[in-house]
Amino acid sequence: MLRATLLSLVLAIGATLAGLSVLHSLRAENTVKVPDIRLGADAFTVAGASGRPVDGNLAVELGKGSTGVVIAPLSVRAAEQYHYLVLNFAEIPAAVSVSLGWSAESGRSAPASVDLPVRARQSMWLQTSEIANWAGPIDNFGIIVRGQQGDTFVLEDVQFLNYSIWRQVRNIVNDWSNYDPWRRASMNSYTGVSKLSPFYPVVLVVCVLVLSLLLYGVWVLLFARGRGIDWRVPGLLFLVCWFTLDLVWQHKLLRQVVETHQQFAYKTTDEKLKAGPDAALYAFISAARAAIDQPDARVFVASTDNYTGLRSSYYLYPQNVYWVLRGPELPFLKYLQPGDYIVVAKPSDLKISRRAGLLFSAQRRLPVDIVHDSPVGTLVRLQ
Amino acid sequence: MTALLIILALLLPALMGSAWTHALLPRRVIARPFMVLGTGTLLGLLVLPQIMRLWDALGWGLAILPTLLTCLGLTLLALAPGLRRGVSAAHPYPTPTAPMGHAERLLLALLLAMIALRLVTLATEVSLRPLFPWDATMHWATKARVWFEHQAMVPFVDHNSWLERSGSGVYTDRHPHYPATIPLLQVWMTLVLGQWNESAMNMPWLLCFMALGAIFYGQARLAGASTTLAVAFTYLLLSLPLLNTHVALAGYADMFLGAAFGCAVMCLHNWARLREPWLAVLALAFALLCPLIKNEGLIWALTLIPALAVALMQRREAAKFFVLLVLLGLLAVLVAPKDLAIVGHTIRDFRPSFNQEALLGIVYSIFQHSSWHLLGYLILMLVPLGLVMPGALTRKLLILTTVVACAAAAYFFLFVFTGFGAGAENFAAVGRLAIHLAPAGMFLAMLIYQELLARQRAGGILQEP
Repeated sequence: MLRATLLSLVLAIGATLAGLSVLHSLRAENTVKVPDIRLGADAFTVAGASGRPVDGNLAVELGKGSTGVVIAPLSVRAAEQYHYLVLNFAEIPAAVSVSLGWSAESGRSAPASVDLPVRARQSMWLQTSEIANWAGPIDNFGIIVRGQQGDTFVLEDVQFLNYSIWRQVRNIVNDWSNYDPWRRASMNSYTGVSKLSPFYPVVLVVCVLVLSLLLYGVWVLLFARGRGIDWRVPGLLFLVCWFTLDLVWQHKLLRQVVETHQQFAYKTTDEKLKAGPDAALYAFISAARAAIDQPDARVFVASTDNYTGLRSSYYLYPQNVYWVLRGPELPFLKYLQPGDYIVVAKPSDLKISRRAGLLFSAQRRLPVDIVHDSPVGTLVRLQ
Repeated sequence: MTALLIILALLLPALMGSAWTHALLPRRVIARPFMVLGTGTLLGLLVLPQIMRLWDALGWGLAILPTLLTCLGLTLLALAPGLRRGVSAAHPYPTPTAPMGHAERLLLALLLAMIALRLVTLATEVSLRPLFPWDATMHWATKARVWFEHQAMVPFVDHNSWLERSGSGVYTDRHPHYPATIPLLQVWMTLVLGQWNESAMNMPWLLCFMALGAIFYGQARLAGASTTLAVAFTYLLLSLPLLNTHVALAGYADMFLGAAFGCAVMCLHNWARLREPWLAVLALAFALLCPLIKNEGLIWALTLIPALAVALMQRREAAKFFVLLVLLGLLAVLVAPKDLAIVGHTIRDFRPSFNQEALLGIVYSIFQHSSWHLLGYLILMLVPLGLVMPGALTRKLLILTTVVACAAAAYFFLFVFTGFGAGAENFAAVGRLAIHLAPAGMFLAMLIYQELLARQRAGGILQEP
């Protein structure tokens, strides 16, 4: 039973990789194979940050602008001929965001860029067929890193690689071991991919599973016709495939837990919220709540951004809050009363004239007292 | 001190529920500890909020003491020496078969290790993270926050009513009439802690997850699965990524509803086989609790009725009953006022119109995304095999198949034929509602696979053992 399982699985994996190779060959039928390109750290110049060579690499420290750009000249006639783009860093903070930009000399092709949708890591493999506008000549290539002042990344090299089965496997492994922290949509679905992923993991694993089941069927026909199907074998094959996907998921969970621990461990609720993704908004709302001197006051939340409005209203509870998802920022005038508070959380179509003490929109002007002001929003009270 | 209070707050409903399941279950039940603790914990978590509601309705508000004393009283009552224990089995329960080989032990150890690792990971995440998800801060924890502050269930009304009443004595959020069970669980945790704590109040989600695993294992063993098979499928259930996400980012009601409905389905299946009253009691209890968790719970609970009909009637009579039910349902929809609200939506909202994009959304969600690993493919492969095996789905597993089929039909109808298809097109709701059905679907998959193995041992899948 174990032998049949193992053999079916190994052959199925081999067949899947061979199939991917054939698929690539069919797609790249007319593509000429060109030599791989490696841009070492010394090929790059630095803009918007301070850079220095370190052990053959390029160390870049972000300045006040919080953005560092490294650019290198490149001589590529047809970018699509390179199947993989690999960024190698000796060191890069996880919290920075990385974008790529490329252009050709005047007129030959338009400049283009892509924001990498996953956390930065030391080795990033990208399948270029998933990068929009990655085609045609490229004369300049750049990496844009955005973070906080003082963040430092150390670039080793950038590689433009041709296709091979081994590189395909490395690309898949690299993609599957990517990590992206929780998003708002995480509660609704887990796609398992980013925008630049080469394959949906489930689809790839199902290919292996189906092939392994077929191969086991062949095994039964050839060697075990008398005994028939041992249903434990398909069960094991299925379990192994499930395990594979689950190990990837477990890895992501562990990375997330590490980040969560760094962000929230040993903090009170108030400290957690001040350290979390809504830190600035929470600080503003906390101050606004403290400034509301009546516990039973009505508080209207006005914002044109649904998330901001939602979180503002939540943090305001247990005040008597009014906020409508995808509705007008304020209700009809007849429902507003003197003494009502309005939290204007940016972005908002409501404007405040501090000198005139007015809150106004396209339709109305309301006399208000400014109770609390911050870069994130303003708390006013209707006169 | 906080950790101790959290444990005490979780222990009380778990103890109360477990005391009653201990009283209810016969002494000789396979995997009894898992059944008692798992079912009891889930029961306790869902009944505790109802006790809080009762005291609030009686004018005592949401104080700790009445709830605490009631729970303790109920626990002691269940443990009273004079209370009749569960009826002894009239026939022997399924017993383990062959001893385990070395490879099987290794597999079992691996599965248990993966389950343990998952539990530890999720426990760490949920205990550290403050409230995060969208709906939790829009209409679940909003009530919890206000009720905790006022120590009473202050009424929530819709936005227009709030404006008309100038907010006097009422609050508002996006879904003011959603069931109170989940917010009250959060209130309970914060009442015991004495402060609003956005991480601690989510610990019931971890407990529910653990209870679900214990229930599934216990019910699987009761259904005749070997230890390894039961553990394997428990692992498959507990490793579902979207289910894990709902534990890690706690605050939604979907996992609780999935656990309650799943438990009702499993109990109903095993009751139909064994005809033990305690299983019927549990199935009924969890079916009645479903609508108290989320509005859709009523729909899922109603899907148990056709299965009950199949269990109690001859197949021909049951088929006639089905047809009658469907005709009555259609008549009700045609005759009832279009503004009549059912499970929070008007009849007008359910007007059928085929939505191809929604169907594609369901397909992508189940078969392309990683939300369910390979669960969709597991069911896709096993159901046809179940049909090939004579009597498997049509006799032995008929009740379970009926429930799952009715629930799946309701699920598809909701997204593919009504205005709620947008929830499938943008994946906003299709995954979350699938959580409600996942435990029941996994149980069916396990039983079909078990049947395959049993028939293989008996000489072939085309032979009924």
